[in-house]
Amino acid sequence: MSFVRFYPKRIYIERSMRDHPTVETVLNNRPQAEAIYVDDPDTIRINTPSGVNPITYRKKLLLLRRQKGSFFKKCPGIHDTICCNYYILNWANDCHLDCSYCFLQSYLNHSVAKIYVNTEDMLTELDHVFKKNPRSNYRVGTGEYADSLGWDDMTHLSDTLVPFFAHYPNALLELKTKSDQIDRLIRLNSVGNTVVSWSVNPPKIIREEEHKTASLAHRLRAARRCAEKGYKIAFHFDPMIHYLEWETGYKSVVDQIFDTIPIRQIAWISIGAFRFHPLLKEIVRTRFPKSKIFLGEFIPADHDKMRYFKPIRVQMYQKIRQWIADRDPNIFNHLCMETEDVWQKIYGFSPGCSADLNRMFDNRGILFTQNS
Amino acid sequence: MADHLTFRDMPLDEIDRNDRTYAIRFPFLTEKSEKWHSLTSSIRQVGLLHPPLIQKKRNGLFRIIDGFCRLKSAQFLEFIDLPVAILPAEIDAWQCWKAVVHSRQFGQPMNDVEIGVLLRKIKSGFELTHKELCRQVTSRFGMEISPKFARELIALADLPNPCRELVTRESLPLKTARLFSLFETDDQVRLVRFFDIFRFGRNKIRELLIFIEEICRRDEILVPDLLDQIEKPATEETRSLPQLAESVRKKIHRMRFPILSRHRERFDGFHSSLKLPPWIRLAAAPHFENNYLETRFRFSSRKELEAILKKLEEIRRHPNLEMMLESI
Repeated sequence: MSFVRFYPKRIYIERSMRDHPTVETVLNNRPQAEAIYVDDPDTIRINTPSGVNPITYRKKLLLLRRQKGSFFKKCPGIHDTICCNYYILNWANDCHLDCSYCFLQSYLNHSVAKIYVNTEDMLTELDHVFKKNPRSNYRVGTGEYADSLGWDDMTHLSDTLVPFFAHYPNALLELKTKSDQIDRLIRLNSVGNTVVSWSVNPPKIIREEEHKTASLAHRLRAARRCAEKGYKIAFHFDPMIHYLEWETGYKSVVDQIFDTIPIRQIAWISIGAFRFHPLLKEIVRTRFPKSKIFLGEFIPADHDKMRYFKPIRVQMYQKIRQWIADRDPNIFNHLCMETEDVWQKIYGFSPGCSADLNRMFDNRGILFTQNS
Repeated sequence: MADHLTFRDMPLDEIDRNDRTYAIRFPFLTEKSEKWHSLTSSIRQVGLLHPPLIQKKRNGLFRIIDGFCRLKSAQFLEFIDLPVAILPAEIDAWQCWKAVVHSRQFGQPMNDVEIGVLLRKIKSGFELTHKELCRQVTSRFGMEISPKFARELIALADLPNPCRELVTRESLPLKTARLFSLFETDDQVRLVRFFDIFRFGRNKIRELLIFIEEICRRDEILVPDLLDQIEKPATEETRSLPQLAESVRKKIHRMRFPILSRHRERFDGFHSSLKLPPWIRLAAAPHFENNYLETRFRFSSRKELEAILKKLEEIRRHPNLEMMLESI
């Protein structure tokens, strides 16, 4: 199964940005799309044809606009869980990939996918932050509200971001993806301070729930090419799905990672079980009636989220941590959005607070050139 | 519209009782129902006070617009002719529907199934989209309905009769009724039979519909097989109906959440081994999500407090406390 590229049917463009180089790049790379210029992108009204799901319909549309607010934000995390003090770069909202479990379906209020094209403002903002606090380390990801590389063939954003981050010893860019779109990354010269990461799941889950994404084999092949180029690689076992053959499935993913990627190139592995807002279930039932993702044993946890029953999560984390340790006990791995109590059960300690987990990242000399 | 009406007595034979174009009533009036008896005895005693509304068709017969039950009763009572209100033939279908809605606004309000039937008939009769349908019923009848709501009401009207009867009888909310749409028609009917056996109330029905659908999909088993598996052992027991219903509900819950249920049962087993008096409560966090046990106790004298402390000390030493702590 190959990654399906994004070919929008229609691209809305904020008129004041029509001559912006990013707009030009996108339009040149997608000449078949109908370009519509709008004065005020906030006034765009999309009439979804009758009988078509609005989310599905809007996945064929794209809006290129100016980011009026801040590009650089702290990852929101979840109250009462230990977060990794991550920063997000809000360069785009939404994604054409169609993972059944994607939280954006209930989060983005059916808006059109957006790319904020004023990249120069983004770089100015980042430069200001990194220089203002030179002793602080920043891990910055572009994959929170979009796939970091899914649109790279259309935007060429990595051409700008990767060389930019290479200049800052206290900054690390994470490009998180479910695609295999790494051709542009491979052509770049300066690869320092960029970690390319893949969200991974067993092939069965990818096939049934992660529509339009690259297969596991394609993701790992892409990861290997990036590793050979010199990029650090990370993996996210997130969201882990509890299904009948989950042990065989995830064990095989761990084995394939270690069989494919040189250990010295693996920066970290994060682990997190599927969690969701209750509203998502209804949306997924309509959009993906065959999905079995919500048939697990979920309980209402704090902060309005549904989570797997704790012993299930603990068992999954313990196993995966053990499989990783069996291949290399020194690989840095951590839980994502989990409570102190679960950390204790898995690692025998808890970072105590989000700042401690951040320090654990900082202390890994391989990540930040200023610490190495 | 009243100005256009003609009132007269008409032979029953001239009315096409098989033409159900404007029939929306649900549940249907049967000769066993209480409503049938009261209507029939009222007509027998005082006659038809409120004449049925009819309209002449092209074939010369008359179509019933409103008053299907009254006509059925009159027929049952072997009336030869009866008083009717006749709408002129040039009155269009929209006006006829308006008369139907109007009549129900002054009588017994329409239930969800009836609104669904009304919308379905108007939608197909005038070949409207859901959006157009909603616009029309809002402007013509003052019924504010969103396209999504209309779609759900029409889906409800399309359910087989046993489901529609259950929905109406138990006044099931639409969000529960629409869960039936997740099942095949035969399974829908089988489910109603299951709910009828154990007389589940509306909240339980909702919960069970969700769980049964999820179990069948997860385990790839057929609805009748699952229900047989649950129903047969339960009906052979001699407990009271509410007890049976509760045990069936628990069984389904256990099937839907096997790991959680086993964990809970294990915890409860340890808990009962502590033999706590009713005034001491020891509980895990909701759904075992947090790793603490919570103790609450009440007392009204120093002596009672001493007894509680003694019991707490016993708990502290009890080997199963360790097991309980491990299970959180």
